[in-house]
Amino acid sequence: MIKNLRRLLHCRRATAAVEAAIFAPIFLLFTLGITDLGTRMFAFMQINAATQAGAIYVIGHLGAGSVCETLTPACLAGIKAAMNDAIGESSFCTGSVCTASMGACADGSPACIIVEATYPYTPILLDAVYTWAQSVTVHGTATVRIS
Amino acid sequence: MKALSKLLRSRSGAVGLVTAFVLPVLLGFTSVGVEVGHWYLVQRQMQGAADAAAISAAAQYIADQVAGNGSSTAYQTTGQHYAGLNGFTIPVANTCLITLSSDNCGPVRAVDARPIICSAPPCVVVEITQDTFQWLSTPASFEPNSLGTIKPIPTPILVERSVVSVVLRLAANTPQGHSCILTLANARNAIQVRGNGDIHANCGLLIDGGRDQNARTPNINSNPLCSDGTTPPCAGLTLSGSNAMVHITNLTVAASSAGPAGHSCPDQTRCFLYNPPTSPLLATAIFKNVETPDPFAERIFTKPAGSVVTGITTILPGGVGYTVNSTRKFTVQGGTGIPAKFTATVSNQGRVTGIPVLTDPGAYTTLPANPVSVTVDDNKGSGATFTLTSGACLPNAKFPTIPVPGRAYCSISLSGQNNAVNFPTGIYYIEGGEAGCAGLCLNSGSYTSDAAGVTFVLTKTASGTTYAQMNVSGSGSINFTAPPNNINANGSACASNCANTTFGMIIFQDRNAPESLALDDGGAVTSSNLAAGTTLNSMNGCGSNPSCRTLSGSLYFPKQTLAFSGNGTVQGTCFGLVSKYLDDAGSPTFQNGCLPGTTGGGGSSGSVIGGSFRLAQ
Repeated sequence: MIKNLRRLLHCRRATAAVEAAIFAPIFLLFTLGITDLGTRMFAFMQINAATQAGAIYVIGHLGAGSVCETLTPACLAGIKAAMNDAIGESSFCTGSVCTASMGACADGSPACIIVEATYPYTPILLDAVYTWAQSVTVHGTATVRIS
Repeated sequence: MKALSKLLRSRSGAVGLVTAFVLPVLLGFTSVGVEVGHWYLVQRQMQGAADAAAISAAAQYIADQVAGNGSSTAYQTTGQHYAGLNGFTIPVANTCLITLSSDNCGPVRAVDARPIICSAPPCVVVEITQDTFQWLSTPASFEPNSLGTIKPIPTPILVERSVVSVVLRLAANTPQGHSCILTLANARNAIQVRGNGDIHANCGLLIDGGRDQNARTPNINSNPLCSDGTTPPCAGLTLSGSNAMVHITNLTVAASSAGPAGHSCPDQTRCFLYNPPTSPLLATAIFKNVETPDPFAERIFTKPAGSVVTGITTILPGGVGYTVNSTRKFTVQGGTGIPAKFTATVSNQGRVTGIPVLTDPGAYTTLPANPVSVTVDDNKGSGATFTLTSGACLPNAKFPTIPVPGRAYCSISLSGQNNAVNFPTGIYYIEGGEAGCAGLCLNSGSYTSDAAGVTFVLTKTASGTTYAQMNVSGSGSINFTAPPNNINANGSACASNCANTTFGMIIFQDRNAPESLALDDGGAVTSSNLAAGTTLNSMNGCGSNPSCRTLSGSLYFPKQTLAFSGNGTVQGTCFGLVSKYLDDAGSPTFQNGCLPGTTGGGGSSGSVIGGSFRLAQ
């Protein structure tokens, strides 16, 4: 038994395969990590674009008699449609993924529109591997004063 | 030595060695990729934040203007604040404002040399700058350039800009104005006074909103002539004949002269102040090289689509069960659009027997098929059917029987039996005119509007080629008020995205109406304007009746001539006339002019009551 083990240790056959087997997980970790990072950045951009599209929709439909004079269900539907368009996915704004509120601004100005969106992001790698690739809810907000 | 030689020959750990060499290079390229990606992400956020900040700043700017704080710079701190709320810290000076007369965007241009695109001032500009985050790469990192070679990455500063164009909404009834007449013709007799004509205007005259009155020279423009065939400068007041004169408060022209030499102001024998009327109009009251843009250039109207009911006949026996011995009101059923209405009498058998009288021609995109059924106002009875005839507009409208706003009329001709009419608030679309009346014809009588205002739109039918015009004559009284704010065709208020933006306008003639190309000294349209023929809009005198023309609003004929004759006072709380040419052979008096939004010499700006904005860059 010990003799066989010694023989294996001194064996020079398939050294490349052995070395590749040692480094492959490192490469794999590296590649998947970069992929996760890129995916998360993309998700962040999508959310950012969606919230801005929602806010722009409101700005284009302001005023008495227009659909977004107040935050009516029709206005909210328009906001969500604009956000879906921006993301390119018609069912993105389901449930409470996209929200909007209209009211006095935090600085005391009469009216602001705040559009928010969240998107659960799940990386390929396990949470413990990279800090930037952990499961997280990507969140975006657009705040615009409208009067 | 022996050990080194052994190491060199050693075949162990080859993959590790290769990895050791390749990994740093791989890491370098990867980090560049990640970082460039990050720049795009930041840039995307910056653009959104700049838009949000610029819109917020524009909202503050509008609020300041409405509050009368015209010179407030609160918009700058607002821009800074909202850029911060959206993730970016910028200096106060990175929010700036461009107006027709001022520009504080120097600091913005200093950080971003790109020209600021602001074709419609005022514009609020927000510039966001951000140092790129040197995350994984270092200044020694590399990226391929367009030639396929490698160049060091500079340390870029990302810059994003947003320009928001602001449209301020002015009060329709501006403070009692200083200008009452604006002509737009590129011709030296844009305003022509002839014969014994004498314009009395307790307000200014403005000539030409164009910018090219001095520019049509051989050096600048291949066509050396004004549009009427004369030589530049083009815009002006022409006093045709030795008896023609004016009594005005001031004169503003876009050209470098007030009119043809010897036939215009100043002229001590023919140009006078309105008050005192014996004092000559001084040269200092004549403003040259001052543009006056057409204040109604952006206004729109939307005429009703489709057709209207022009006639209705009963198909006997006329149903059963209707309330007897009375005149009932009926509404046509079916079709798409606003239903027509009429009245008819009911016999003592409960049947409709009287000849129906149309009271509202409706406005249909799809007419109901004949025979049509109807409902009656008290919902008693049924079964009567009717045959409709239809057309693009309602001919021979018998006012005041059918004063329904929002409908298409072939003409509105009031005189004789129809000489006392009050128009309910709304917009009246007059399409093409008819034999005997070219559009809106008001002869002696008493014609009024509701206080909330009316607009008469002079246009054509969808398939027609003739445009309606206005002819006012006789000594009766006319008292019309323009809507102070935008209204819908039916007279209801419209706050935004309006299909008709006619506030402040009593008459709105279609911009596609055949254009008056020149006036000759006789005031007639010349042979160069073959299409026009007798197509002058006219307003004749009303003698000594001081209140015969009370017009609180503007008359707008952007492509045609308005001809005055006779005497009489045109007044109202806020009068304005905008036409291509004004031909005057009489002695009208104009009071209380207040053309909105004009500047320079004559007009006064109205108070700001609101505004809107759009992204411009």
